[in-house]
Amino acid sequence: MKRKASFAGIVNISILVFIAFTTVYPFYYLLVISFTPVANTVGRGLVLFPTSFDLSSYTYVFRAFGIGGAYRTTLSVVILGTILSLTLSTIGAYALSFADMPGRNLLMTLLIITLVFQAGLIPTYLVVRSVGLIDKLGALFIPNAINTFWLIIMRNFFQALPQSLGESARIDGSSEFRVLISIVLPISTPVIATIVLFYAVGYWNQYFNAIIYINSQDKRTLQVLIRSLYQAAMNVTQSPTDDVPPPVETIRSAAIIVSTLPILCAYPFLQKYFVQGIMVGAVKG
Amino acid sequence: MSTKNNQRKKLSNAVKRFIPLYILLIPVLLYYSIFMFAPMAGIIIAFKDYSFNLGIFGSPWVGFEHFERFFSNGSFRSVFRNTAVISMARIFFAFPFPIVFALMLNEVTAIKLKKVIQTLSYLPHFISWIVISGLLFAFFSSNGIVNQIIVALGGTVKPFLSETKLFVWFFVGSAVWKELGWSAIIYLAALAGVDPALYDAATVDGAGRWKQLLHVTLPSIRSVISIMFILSLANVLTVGFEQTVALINSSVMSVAETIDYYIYRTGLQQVNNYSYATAVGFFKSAISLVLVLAANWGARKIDPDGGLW
Repeated sequence: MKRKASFAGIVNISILVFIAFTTVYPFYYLLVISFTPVANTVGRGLVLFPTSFDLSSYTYVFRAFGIGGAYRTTLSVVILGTILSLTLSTIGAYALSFADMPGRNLLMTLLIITLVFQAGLIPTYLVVRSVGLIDKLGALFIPNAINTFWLIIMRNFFQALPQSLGESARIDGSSEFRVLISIVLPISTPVIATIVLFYAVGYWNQYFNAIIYINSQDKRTLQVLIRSLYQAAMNVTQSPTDDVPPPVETIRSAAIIVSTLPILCAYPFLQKYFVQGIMVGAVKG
Repeated sequence: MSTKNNQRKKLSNAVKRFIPLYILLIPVLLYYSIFMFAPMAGIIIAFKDYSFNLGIFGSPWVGFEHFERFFSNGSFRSVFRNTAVISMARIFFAFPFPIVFALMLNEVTAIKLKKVIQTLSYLPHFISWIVISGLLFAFFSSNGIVNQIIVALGGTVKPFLSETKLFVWFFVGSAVWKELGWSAIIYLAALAGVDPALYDAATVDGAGRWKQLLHVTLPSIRSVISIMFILSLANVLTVGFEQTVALINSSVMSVAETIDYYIYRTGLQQVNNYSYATAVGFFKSAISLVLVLAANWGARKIDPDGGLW
């Protein structure tokens, strides 16, 4: 049954294409601006094509802002955080996937309590301080190492696997841990890929922990650095009269591009895992 | 007697089978006890006058003093109002967008195009609020694109981002832009599950595309919509802290400061005000808990599988 193109259909598609356009254009615009010499950024309006290719803003961002150091911090947090989060979540999810494990219901109840009731910022801060994490790299990923929602997605995936899977290994006397490592994990790549991506992107973008727990300049993450670039600019634009453009516009654009590029580049290849994982875990048990 | 022994034996066998798993679970349990449950116990400082030197247990009890303080505090009232206004705007204006987007996408018959649009629409979900505030700045600040176009057309510069009247709309609008595609996934999944035979039957009955939308598509995803709506009500007091931090600036403070931001400002940026900020946080968490439980109950009324748990 083929439907023919109608007027409404064309309007519909045009709106959708416009929506898709708005998700990409801002990044393209900043990319173009980041290549534009400072003096040329005044009065350019809606930019469609780059008029120049000047890399000085990038050199500046790396030399003067120490974005390299922030990059290192962010990368360490992404790598260490993702490893820790994945390990803890996998263990928790796998254990919870056994209906017959003694203590499982208690554990599940505890997890759900943490979902519906939050202790709040200050009590959490005081705990993080009392375990000595303030201003430590670990503060950027240890206090929120497990995302309980994603743990439950993983558990749903494990639960949906056929019971018979580890049967022969169990009869041979293998422990549940061995079954996890040698049988369950190898066939769980879709959900693991998704969870790894969620955690990695989450750590890359997060700055809540950074502004709450980190004071020293040398542990600034990319997001904190960019925030500080904009904060100065935001708070001086109160009066409509100051239409003098801050000369840092190109630099800010370059900083944003540098810090978003990994996500923009990886996105086309990884996006299918994001959706796949959500679908895979959506079966409730 | 023997059955009891049997049961005990069964249990101990089960425990034995899981021993390595229990050992592995220790770090998970430690994580939850230290970073989730210990802070919950720490809420007692809301009823004390916490000072660092005396510690949680040594600090004197003050009862509901901190709660009385913030209830009678004008700035808390305005913060509460801001939170409610932003949430209401979010629920009533932002909520329908992903549904409409999913319905529109569902009408596209060109599979390739549909896929490209859908894929691009998820992208902003993976961009940080800090970067998004940078994008907003590039477009709407006094020398951003929009103002340049206004000036080119002979208008005068309008400082969109420091206008208190516009703040809520920028706040909600940017959240719509960020989550539009991502939030639509659940509706698209529901739409994909609609039995094609229903459409065929409707076509035979002479129903056009519009009639099919009203009488087949919408009723099929009605329960998903109601569940999502009820669950969104549970978050009335939670306005993204990272979003607030990214979009707030000194000129819109009076309308932009939400409960979470207020807790951050009074608790961490003022000296020794931990107990007060904890009391505010506890008040918020308690109300949120009631709302979540009610929402879950409501969602399960609609669909036994519809709740969060």
